[in-house]
Amino acid sequence: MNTPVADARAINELLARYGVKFGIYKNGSFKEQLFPFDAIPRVITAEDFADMEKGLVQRVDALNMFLADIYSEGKIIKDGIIPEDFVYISKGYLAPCAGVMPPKGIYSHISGIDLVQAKDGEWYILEDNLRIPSGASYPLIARELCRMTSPSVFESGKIADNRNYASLLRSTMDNVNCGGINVILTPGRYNAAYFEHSYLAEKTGAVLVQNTDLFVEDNILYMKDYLGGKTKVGAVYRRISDEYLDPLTFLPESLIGVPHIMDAYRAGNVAILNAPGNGVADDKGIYYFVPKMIKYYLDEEPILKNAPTYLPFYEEDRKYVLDNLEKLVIKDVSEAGGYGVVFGRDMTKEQLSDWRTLITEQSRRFIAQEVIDFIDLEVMENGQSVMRKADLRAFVLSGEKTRVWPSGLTRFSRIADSFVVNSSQGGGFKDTWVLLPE
Amino acid sequence: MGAITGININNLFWLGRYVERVFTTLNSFFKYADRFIEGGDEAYEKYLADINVPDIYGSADVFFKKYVFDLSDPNSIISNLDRALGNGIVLRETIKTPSLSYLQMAMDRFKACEGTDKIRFDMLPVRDAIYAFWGSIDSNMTDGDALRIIHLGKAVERADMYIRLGYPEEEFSVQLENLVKHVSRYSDMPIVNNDTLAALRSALQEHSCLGQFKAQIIDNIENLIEVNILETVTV
Amino acid sequence: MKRLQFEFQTNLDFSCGMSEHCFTLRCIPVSDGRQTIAEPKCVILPHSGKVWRSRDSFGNTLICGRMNEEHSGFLFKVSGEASIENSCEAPGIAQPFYRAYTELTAAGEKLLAFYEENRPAAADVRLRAEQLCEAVYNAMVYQRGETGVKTTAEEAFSVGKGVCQDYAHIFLSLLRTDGIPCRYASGLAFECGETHAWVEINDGTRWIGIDPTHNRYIGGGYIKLCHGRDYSDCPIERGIYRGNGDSVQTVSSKVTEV
Repeated sequence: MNTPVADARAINELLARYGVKFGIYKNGSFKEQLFPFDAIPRVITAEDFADMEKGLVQRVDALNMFLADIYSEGKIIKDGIIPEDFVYISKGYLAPCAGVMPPKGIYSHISGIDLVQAKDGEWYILEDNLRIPSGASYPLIARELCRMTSPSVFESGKIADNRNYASLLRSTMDNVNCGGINVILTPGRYNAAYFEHSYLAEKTGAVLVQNTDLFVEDNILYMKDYLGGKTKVGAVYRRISDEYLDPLTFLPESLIGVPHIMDAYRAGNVAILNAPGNGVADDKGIYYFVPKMIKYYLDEEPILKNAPTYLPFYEEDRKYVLDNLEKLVIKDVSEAGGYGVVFGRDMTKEQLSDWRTLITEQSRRFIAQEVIDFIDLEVMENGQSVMRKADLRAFVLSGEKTRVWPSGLTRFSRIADSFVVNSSQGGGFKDTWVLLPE
Repeated sequence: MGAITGININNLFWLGRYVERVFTTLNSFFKYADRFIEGGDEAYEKYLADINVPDIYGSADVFFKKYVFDLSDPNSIISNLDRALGNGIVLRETIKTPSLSYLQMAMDRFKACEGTDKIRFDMLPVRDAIYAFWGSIDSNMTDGDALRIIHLGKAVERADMYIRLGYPEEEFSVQLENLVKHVSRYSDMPIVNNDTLAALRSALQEHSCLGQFKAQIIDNIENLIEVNILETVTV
Repeated sequence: MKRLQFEFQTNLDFSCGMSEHCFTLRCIPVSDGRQTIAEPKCVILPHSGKVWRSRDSFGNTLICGRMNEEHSGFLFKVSGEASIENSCEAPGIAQPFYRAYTELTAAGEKLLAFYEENRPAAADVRLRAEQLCEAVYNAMVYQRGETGVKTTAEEAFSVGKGVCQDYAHIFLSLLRTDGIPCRYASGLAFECGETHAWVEINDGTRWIGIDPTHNRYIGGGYIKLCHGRDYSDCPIERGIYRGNGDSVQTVSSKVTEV
């Protein structure tokens, strides 16, 4: 079933032609790079996907319940399941969102959950991305192109069509729309994911806007047009982060935000996807507590496993981390995109001792995890097949129901033995085939 | 559907202008390239004089390379194509992905021609991609206002370039007439400057020899459509 | 009970024209059981653009506005009559985030050490707060110009000098280190000609106002305009505009007994 589609060169040429790029900042200047595509797909069997789907729906539902709880009564804290210290001082916790119930109670509409498959076949959750996870557009357009170049591969009809992403996204926006148009708010051309913003706008029929196209009056968000008219906006799929969203509530120096958008949101006149304040739930520290959340809110056993994680915040865990640092991976809870991740096995003696001091002093700032020996995937490199580390970002959309997109973004490292697969660090991607049940 | 924002209208108009600028300058350059086969430096000097570009190149070879392929030369044809592509990238959802892909294709093919000794032949796919772009926007765009603005940009640029590139009067007056007719159909759009439209119309009616009023006509063409660039916000 | 007539005005003068001015004002005092406000009036100049009301998650009333046209001056004036109980207490419970450090109130090494030296012995929340308040009052010298609106508690404490905002932030930092829920209060005080800042602690059922700058409980002379976890949650005026000029702010307030 691991049939490669045509040759990767044809697809990569087409990707270039369709402008499928992501931007990166290097040495202070903006560059656009192609995201290298590998022709051998990752294949997920129907049974595997069915389990994964249940597990992901369960996890995202619990995370949404957690967010609703944290921004209202905070029962999970009162009941002693999660210590207060991991919530209210988290950078992602936004007091200006306290007591605000988003439309239909949904906080994380589009969740990007990163998983890896261990050598024993078990899937592990690496991290939850509940703020503005990106990447769905790449497998979406890649599939379109693969079907164009290699129709015979898809003839069997056994591969789930993933091109429903745009309609899933659209219905997710429509579900919470408070009356008015849907817009996608982008920081602009020089954002790393600009291709995705514009492509999803095209595919969903939402209007792609920048902050200067929007304004608020009487707690209602409007888009202005060139004739001086205004159109009410009912849902904003925003691709700018919380702290830049509203210069009158968050960072005053933000030049990409919309003044008073938080007033329109608090008044219930506009839906913001994803809701501001979600950062408190995808914090690497909170990750540790997600299985506990699932039990607490849903009274269910977690279907998908977390990677074994230690919180130096707890004395017992700290002791384990300090004793076993050389075999663990340390992650800074406030960093993302593959930054702030260090492996104990790569450290010199001196570095190990420095890290022990740092972890002891700033125990809340780091988590430590066992290094999961995840499976390598076959990748074509200069005409030769090589094995590379890869992860999977699954996209879970919470609309009327919570649904898992039958595909995902498989990112792989282009460097042998490297565990860092992020596109910003030079990784490539594969199509992800979910097989239909027999 | 299709409320156009302020930033967008500016991009739409300039998209039309830059694509047309590339097309017209390429065609004009090809005429020169044809003469260059036997003519050498003489043809090059005459061409520069025709298109009213100062000779900063020094020799036909340098000119040939830089004027066509040098992205760091703001007057080069490729720089204009780059601007067309830049405007297209921010309009993907409006002009649609296939249209944008033709601009990307034009750019890729253009770059691949660098160093060729048969430029008119090798550049054929670039021209094809531009033709395809115009066909693609007409058949794919769903927002009629947006499409009209791109075409207004194209018409403005065509007339403008025909004058600037020193096309004979009978040729540019045809383009100017086309422009006036084209814009007159949309005179109720708020971006049309009806004063300059009237001025161009009367110039066409009253003067038999438009060449004398070149500067003023260019000025009027430049001001015919008013798209304001939104300034960035400062705190 | 005291009956006070209050008037509070802020002028912003811009060195050149400003447009697309969006602002949020927290200048309308709210009746809370301690203070009762009769018909507060708010005048905003120039009379252009749109002005509307909103509410933030801390419970403050917001005056929001958007002025597109160019203007080189901006002022807002609030006036009204307040009846104030001769008490420092208002009923209310604290949301849990009032116990957590914020960027401006996080205790660093120096404040943590200071807290250890002055760790209160009493069990009662009010008594603990009183002791910490006195410690702040004794450790700090009131002096203008040493600190700004972005100065953190730790920084102000390191300098040893500051204004009411710094006293409040340092006090909040110590209270949070001690686990007492507390918030920053901003408003007008009877004797002083500008705005004043103090602290409210929560004992489970009541907010209790304490003024660390004067080392005393607040009384009938304090009119509260707004509150939040720290200053940055509840500036009385916050705005964004297009233009490159500087702005000069003048504030005046008048509180008189009726």
